[in-house]
Amino acid sequence: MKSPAIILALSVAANIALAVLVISARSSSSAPNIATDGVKPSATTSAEFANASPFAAGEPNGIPADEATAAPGKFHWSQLESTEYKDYITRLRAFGVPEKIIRDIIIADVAKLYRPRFAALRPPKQPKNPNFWEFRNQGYYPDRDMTKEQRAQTSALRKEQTALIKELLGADVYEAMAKEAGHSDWSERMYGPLPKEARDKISEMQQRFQEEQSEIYAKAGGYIDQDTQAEIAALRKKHRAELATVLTPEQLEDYELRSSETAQRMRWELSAFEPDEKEFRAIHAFKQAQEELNAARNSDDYNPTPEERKAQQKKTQELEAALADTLGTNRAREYKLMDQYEYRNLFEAGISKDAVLQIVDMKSEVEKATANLRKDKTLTDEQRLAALRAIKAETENTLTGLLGERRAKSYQNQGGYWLRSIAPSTDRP
Amino acid sequence: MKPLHLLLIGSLVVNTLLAGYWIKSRAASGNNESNSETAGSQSDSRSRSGRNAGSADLVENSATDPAPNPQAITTWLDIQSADLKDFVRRLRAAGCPEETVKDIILAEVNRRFAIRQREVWPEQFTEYKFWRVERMNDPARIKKQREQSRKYTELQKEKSALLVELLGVDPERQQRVEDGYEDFGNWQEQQVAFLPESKREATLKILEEFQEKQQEMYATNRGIWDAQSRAEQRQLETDKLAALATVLSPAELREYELRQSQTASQLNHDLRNLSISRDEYEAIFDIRKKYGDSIYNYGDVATADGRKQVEENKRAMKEDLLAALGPDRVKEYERGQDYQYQQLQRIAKKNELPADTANKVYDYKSVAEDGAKKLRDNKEMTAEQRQTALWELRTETENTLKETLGEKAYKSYQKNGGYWINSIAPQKSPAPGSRTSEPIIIR
Repeated sequence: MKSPAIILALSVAANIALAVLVISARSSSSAPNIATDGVKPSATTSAEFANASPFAAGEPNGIPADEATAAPGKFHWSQLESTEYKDYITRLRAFGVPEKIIRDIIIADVAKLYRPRFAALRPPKQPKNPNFWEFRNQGYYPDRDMTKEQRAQTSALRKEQTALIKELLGADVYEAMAKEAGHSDWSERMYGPLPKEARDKISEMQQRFQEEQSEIYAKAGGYIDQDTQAEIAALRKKHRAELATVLTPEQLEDYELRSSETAQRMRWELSAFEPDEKEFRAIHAFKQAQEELNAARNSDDYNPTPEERKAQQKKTQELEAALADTLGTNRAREYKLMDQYEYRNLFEAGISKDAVLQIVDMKSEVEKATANLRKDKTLTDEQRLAALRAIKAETENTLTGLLGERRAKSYQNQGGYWLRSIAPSTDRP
Repeated sequence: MKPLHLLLIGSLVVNTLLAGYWIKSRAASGNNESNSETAGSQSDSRSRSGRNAGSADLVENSATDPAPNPQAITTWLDIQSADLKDFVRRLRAAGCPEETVKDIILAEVNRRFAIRQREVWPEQFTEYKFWRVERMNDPARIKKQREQSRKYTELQKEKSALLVELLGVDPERQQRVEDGYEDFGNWQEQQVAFLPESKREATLKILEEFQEKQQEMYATNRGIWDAQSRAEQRQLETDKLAALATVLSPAELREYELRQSQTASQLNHDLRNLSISRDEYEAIFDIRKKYGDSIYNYGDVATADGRKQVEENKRAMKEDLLAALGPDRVKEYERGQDYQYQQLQRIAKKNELPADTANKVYDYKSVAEDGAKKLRDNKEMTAEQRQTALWELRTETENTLKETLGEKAYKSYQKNGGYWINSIAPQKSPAPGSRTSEPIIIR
């Protein structure tokens, strides 16, 4: 009987093949034993936690807690755990834990490892003053209440924590996470499109700048006087010079267009102007040059010779001409108006450009007419006053037509002070 | 039965067992990959479709699925579940430490809510154009932002509730408290923290409703602050207190007013340099409330009668304050609101000067200004004599201030509030280009 023998042979061969497959499948799921680097996870092991957890004895939401510890043939999380982070990560990977979950576990664990060290640097929280009428101790702001030394140590600790996470999960871990979450790249938003190395260097410079700036603000105690402004300006200058060692002039400009104080302010001031890219660049350059001139004027030892004064005036005119050249006549005029409180208010209140331009022209005509009346020697005082009051009444009527009654009146107190000087108020003799 | 047959049967049994085990392993491995893809595609599809999984969707579906038997766990996919409640159960069944369960679930919840948060603030995820500006005072924009804020707050609340449901605790909130921060979701909750818990929600609802009305008022007026806007503002405050009176007892309403009303926030600013008792605070509060904004010279108070009335109101309010607090405390109260005094206090604090430095300099200012006035009014002096005397007074003032403040703080004071020194006598101008800014001391 040959058939059973053949079938047996085939069956044995199949057993051997299957055994090889099973063994290889099992070996691929067991954790490799790799060398550790001495960095230990902070979380308590599952067995330790079982004793400490408030949820171990029963869960408030009806989810049962598992009290089991590793037993032969049974999986237990403790089989994945290790006192070394790198080992722990390897085991998690081998167990098939997706990379994003590994990041969740490790980043949270590292945060716990560092939390007591950060806490030790925070000033103790003062008991809250229950007397609301005393207006003190209203909030706890650890960063504000820290000493310079504590802030420096906190910053160093943060760097250490970040370095550890990058070492464990890869240098690009944060970028990968941001990308997965669909966040825009904040460093590109801030620095522009730069090579990674340059970005890292700038990021460090930026951090140093922020720390020094925080220090100045902390010293100022919430009030920014001229001295503090001067300190901040000097620090910015130093920061800019430092950036220039890493960036090309074009990259530096791009960085400043995104992140400088001037640019931030412009985004507020030009909200009704709505500049395009070219206009924004031109105005930014103009403002920066203006600020440099003003910084010299505001310094303690500013006492220019007539020649120096003349040179500065010339420089200002050149800057204005260059800006007008880039913006074009109409936009340059609009920009100039936007720079004046009285018109910016109107633009921001939604008043049309045409109406604002009419007011500008009217102001100019009225000022000319009133100046002529004041110079006119043929008029008696009464005649002059009557004529000035007539101009004032007519101007107010036109304004009401353009702005509506309430806004026309409001304009007189919000920059349109020139209306008051046309003629004395009728309730004054 | 022949031995050959027995061997054959045994071998076939082993065949079946090994094949079954291998197929199971392959199936698990295949599941591992396909589940990963499914998990990914689930979040992708949520993002693409714009449909959000609410917290109920996140936890309900497989709540009755049994937790896996630890013996059946061979891979992460035996633990992972798209249903968060089931996921928690599986992690616990696998012996995962509770701290790690919290870490995994918190991150997963954050990931899922991030998709919905992104839908609330899509602008934050668009490509950044550095030249793009926004119309700050555009009512439509303000309204949209308010709506976004409201949705965001709701989302945060929903997330916190989900975490509590899953884990018995909101780990983020727990950590905030452990780190010493206030246990409030937002500043509005903090506003009503002094009330009994049972009244907070209803109070918050009223406050939110009136905040909305106030924002609408600002949007309608678009920067106009005239008699009409002020009347609207007053009416809103009156209506708000009336609405609060429907849920709060008179004592609670009084406490709200003392802490959170418009008068209270004005006092918060005005009294920051004054140490006072609660009785004094209440007295000042009642007086300030009585006069409201009738003591301010607004730009649109154009008539002589209107201005006269404002002065009359100020005088009457001061009399009320004197009667309630006495002259010394009123002097301190007024001084505390003087910008010059506030500047002095800041400079003294910044330069770590003795506590009474600001008071000393402030008092000296009155003495010096009185002295200068007397000299200017003195008709017996020639113009030259008067000028010399004023310069001497200025020099004496500068020396006294330098001595009290120290050179550094004095320099700072000159630029920050100390302008009155120039009004005693003008500083002698240095020659143009001489590059000196040191004051000329007349001896």
